[in-house]
Amino acid sequence: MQPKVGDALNARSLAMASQLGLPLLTQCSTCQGVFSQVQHRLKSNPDYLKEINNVLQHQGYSYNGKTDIKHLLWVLVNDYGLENVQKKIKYSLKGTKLAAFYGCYLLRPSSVMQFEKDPVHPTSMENIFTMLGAEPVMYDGRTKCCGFPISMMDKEASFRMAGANLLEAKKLGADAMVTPCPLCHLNLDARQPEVASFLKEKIDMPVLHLSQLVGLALGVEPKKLKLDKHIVDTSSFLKKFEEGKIQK
Amino acid sequence: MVSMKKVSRSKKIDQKKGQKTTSKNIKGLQKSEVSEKNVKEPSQEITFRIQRVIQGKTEMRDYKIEVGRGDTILDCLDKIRDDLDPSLSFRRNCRNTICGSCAMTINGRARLACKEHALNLIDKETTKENTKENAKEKIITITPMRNMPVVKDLVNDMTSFWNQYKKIKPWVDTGDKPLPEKEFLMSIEQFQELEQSADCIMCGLCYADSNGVEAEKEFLGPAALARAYRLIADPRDAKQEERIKAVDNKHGTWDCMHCFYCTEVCPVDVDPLAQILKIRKMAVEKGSTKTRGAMHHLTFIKSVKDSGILNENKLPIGSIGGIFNIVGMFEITPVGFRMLTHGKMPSLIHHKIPKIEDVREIFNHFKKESFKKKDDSPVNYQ
Ligand code: SF4
Ligand code: FES
Repeated sequence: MQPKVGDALNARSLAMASQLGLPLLTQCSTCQGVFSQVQHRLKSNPDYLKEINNVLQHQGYSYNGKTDIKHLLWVLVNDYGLENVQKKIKYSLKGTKLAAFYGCYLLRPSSVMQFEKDPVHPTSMENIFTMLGAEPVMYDGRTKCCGFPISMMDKEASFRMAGANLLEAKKLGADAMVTPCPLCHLNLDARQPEVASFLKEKIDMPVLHLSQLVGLALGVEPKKLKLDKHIVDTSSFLKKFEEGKIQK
Repeated sequence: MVSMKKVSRSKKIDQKKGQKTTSKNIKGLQKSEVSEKNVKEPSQEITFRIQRVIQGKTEMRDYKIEVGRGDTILDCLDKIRDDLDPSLSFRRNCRNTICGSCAMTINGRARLACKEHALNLIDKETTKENTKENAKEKIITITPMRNMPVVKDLVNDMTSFWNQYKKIKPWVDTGDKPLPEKEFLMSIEQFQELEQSADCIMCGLCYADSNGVEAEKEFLGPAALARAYRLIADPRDAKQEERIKAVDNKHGTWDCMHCFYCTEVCPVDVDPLAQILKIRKMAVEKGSTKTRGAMHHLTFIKSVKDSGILNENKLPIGSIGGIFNIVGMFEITPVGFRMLTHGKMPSLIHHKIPKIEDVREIFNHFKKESFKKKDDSPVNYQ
């Protein structure tokens, strides 16, 4: 595809948000990365922005390069504030060990994705875990690729990548993995049975969306959070959560 | 700076640096700035946690030294070797981000030791060693590069990196092109096209941190592919078609995971990922539509063009070349079945977004344009 087509289509979505006068909330590392990159390209090149706007204009849109685009993780940490989330917590996650899986596009390229103070050693997910009472598991894989982008091109390599991350987290005692990226979730959860049989390893690592984890602490029922819909059974993690669950 | 009993090589360097400052001072250059800086900033005690191979056994060892502002990691390694442990092995040569020798993993990321300033890392990086609980001690961790075997301490065996590099025939091949009497002339635009990829200093950092290489050792890797693009874009080279064909396959451009690590760690901004994506695009434009990658790409575009959004049911099928690819169908059926039984299958009825005409208009606009002139879009990583 002509890169310009992709940029124009995304600029159109961003223009719609700015017409409403609202920031755009993403709950996916990949969406966030794509939008942030498009915005960066258009903002840093006024001629290019003009060229794209020429096309959008006769559809009734104009993009000013200014729409705020924020991932749920960033909103929780910066806009809403961890102290305020903490006030709303119903149950502590004490006793659970959690492994963050950030997803490439939330962190890189760091020239564009500037949320984390140190993109090599991000802290926002771990700060949420600690605030919720859980213990973060620090492992190399947390900033790596999940393997999803090549799951169609080279399934074996994709599985090896997902498997290495899952097993590393498991080895360090994680009860669950938590990700702000649904595409990572797909490769780490939906394909986990195949990954395990390909690597001839037992993995059984529950993988939660970030929103589900925060939801649990806020007191939302696991069923309502659809924690029973994941491919890998989440009950081992939920059991731990119930055991250590201290009403705040 | 470091307090040392014997006069070491690193001290000599410090002395040389001092001389340099003095000559600057004589010329009256930023005199106060230099001296003020030295007064204001005392050196700090830093622990270097370094991976060693001692009598065949791999272990981490701690070395404490005094580090001043402006000391590079390489300066520090020199000091450690000169003053504390002469058996510490690492590669270095130019000390100036030119030769690419001093590649290693510093605080968990592939970097050049001569490019990083130790105290900057202490100030900025939030490694687990630098968390609040451990803040009493300032630690920098150094290990050899990943994805390659270790010879000793911080020295890697880079054979696999060079082997992959050789596979793309990394020299200009003029083929049957008539040779000019003097030199080949290149326009500024032609040079600009290959300049970025030609900057590579072959340090291996991108290869060391590449997630693609980690998952598949046959993957050509970022540096070799960036080099391939550098030659594809070279007007002197006669093998453009062959070169594209040679890397337009699974372990060529299509094993790249878009993890961005190569682009992130490259010390001279080669942006290998961008070069890889340029080759992929050229291959598809030249009619190579049968690789899994190209089919995935084209199905994605068709879905957006048809309905304004991605048809998540059709994408995997399109990516394997349709339902008549029996082997491919076996590959994707299990995941589809699992999603279905867990109530996660996207709706089979795929709706178009409102105002789909707008989306098509955008497609048509740029299609018309691309016939008019060469595509000058900025590099888009998607
Ligand atoms: S592309 Fe960059 S990181 Fe890779 S070998 Fe060349 S200079 Fe080093
Ligand atoms: S010593 Fe040459 S690049 Fe570092």
